[in-house]
Amino acid sequence: MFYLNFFIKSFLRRPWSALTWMASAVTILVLSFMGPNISEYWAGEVAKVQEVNPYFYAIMPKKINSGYVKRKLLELPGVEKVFVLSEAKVSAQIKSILSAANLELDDNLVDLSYAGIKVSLSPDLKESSQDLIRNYLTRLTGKNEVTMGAIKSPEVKKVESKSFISENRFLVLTIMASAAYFIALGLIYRPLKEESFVFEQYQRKKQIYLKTLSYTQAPILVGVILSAMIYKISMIPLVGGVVFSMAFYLILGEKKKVC
Amino acid sequence: MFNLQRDSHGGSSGLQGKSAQFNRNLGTSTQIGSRLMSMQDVHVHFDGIRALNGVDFKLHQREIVFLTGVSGAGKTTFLKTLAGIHRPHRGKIERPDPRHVFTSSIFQDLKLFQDQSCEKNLFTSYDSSVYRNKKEFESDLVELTKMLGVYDRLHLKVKDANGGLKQKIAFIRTMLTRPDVVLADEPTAALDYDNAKRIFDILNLYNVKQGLSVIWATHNKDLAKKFTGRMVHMDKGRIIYSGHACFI
Repeated sequence: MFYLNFFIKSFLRRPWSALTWMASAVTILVLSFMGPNISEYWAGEVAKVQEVNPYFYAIMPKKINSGYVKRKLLELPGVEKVFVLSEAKVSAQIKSILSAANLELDDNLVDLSYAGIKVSLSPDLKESSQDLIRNYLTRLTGKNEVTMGAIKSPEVKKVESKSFISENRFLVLTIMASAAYFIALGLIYRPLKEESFVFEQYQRKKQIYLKTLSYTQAPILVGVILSAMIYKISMIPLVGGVVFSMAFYLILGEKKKVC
Repeated sequence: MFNLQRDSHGGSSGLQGKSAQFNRNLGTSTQIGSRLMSMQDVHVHFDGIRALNGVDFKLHQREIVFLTGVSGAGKTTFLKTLAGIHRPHRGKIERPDPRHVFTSSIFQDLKLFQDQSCEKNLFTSYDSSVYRNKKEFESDLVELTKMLGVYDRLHLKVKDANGGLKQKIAFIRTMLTRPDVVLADEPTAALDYDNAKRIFDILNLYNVKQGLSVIWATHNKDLAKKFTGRMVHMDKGRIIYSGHACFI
């Protein structure tokens, strides 16, 4: 408890260093917890730009729970993503469907009490399977309740070359987090060492710096080691970075003279 | 009984051998006791400057030693080497086991936390292995601060305190550790004679009642002459005199 208390008090005296350390520690713990899955959080944005999957739109009355429909559709093999559309987008799609049917209606006559979804399918899905998915959607909502657009199959854009960063997002992120952690420890190690020295002079405690750094950084170390056991080789850069940072500042702090 | 630890470098043989054991019998007698710390042929140098040059020294239990010498004579290096902060490049140092004999220092630069109050700085010394509870510590704190007349200024931040107050706080912080040995580097440099005398009286009281040993470094030889204790005079990293002040 003394060491934790000592660490917190030392931190409160240096809020900027404390914030840097906390930010890097939280990032490392989040990365450890999520593992390589964290890359998927960016994948959605990229997929919109490079849409290669066939898809279709469907509109249904608002009374039908579109969230429920989405969940059920996602359970099907061959359905990759289901987006619930905004009201403006639904309105645009209704107009598009109506104009495709050569029906021109006044804006005021368009009923916007519809929910819309966009169903994105696997690229290699057969036509018969696509029909099965559409039939399932009809059964889910009721035959007369859903209106589906045609399946659109955009041309597959061949990506010429991806940058190293986009190809290895997780690796880059772990290296950046490790570097941030190294810098954060660099900001706190010296004041911590100086204060440890003072406390060692006036209390019957030894190696306060070593113990404080060990005890307070242990949860981070445990976190990355556990994540390495779960996510295996992809966590090696993060484990390596954290272990190196800790060892570096433990050794440097022990050797450094502050008086 | 307690063990002596040794710091040694250089050509002496068998220096890493068994620790010597010394009898300790504090609180029963006021006379100078057995050897507590010693230096033998200690050399310390920094970037070619010989700060200590073959120093031999012994500190006994219940002894008060005044370490005098001009600025740059090697007093601070002497104290820091004895405290274990500097390692000697040559020679041998014997110190008691810190688990049994606690050595506390008053640094020349005081090493106070500038942005904290004087009271919080004093709480640096609160060690639950020494005091039964915080009340006992606070009782000692109040007693010492009242003795030195700083009780009503404990709320001041150190950066706002004057030199004298800072020095008294540093002194009280050291005494609150209930030390067995005090290594004081110019502890009264910012104080007038009356306050310096008061600090010496407190040290003397602890010396008599609790067997405290003190090494007090000062460049003011006249001040040291007015107090009771052995005087060790240093010049150019060497001890050139060790004895009672009246013989200088």
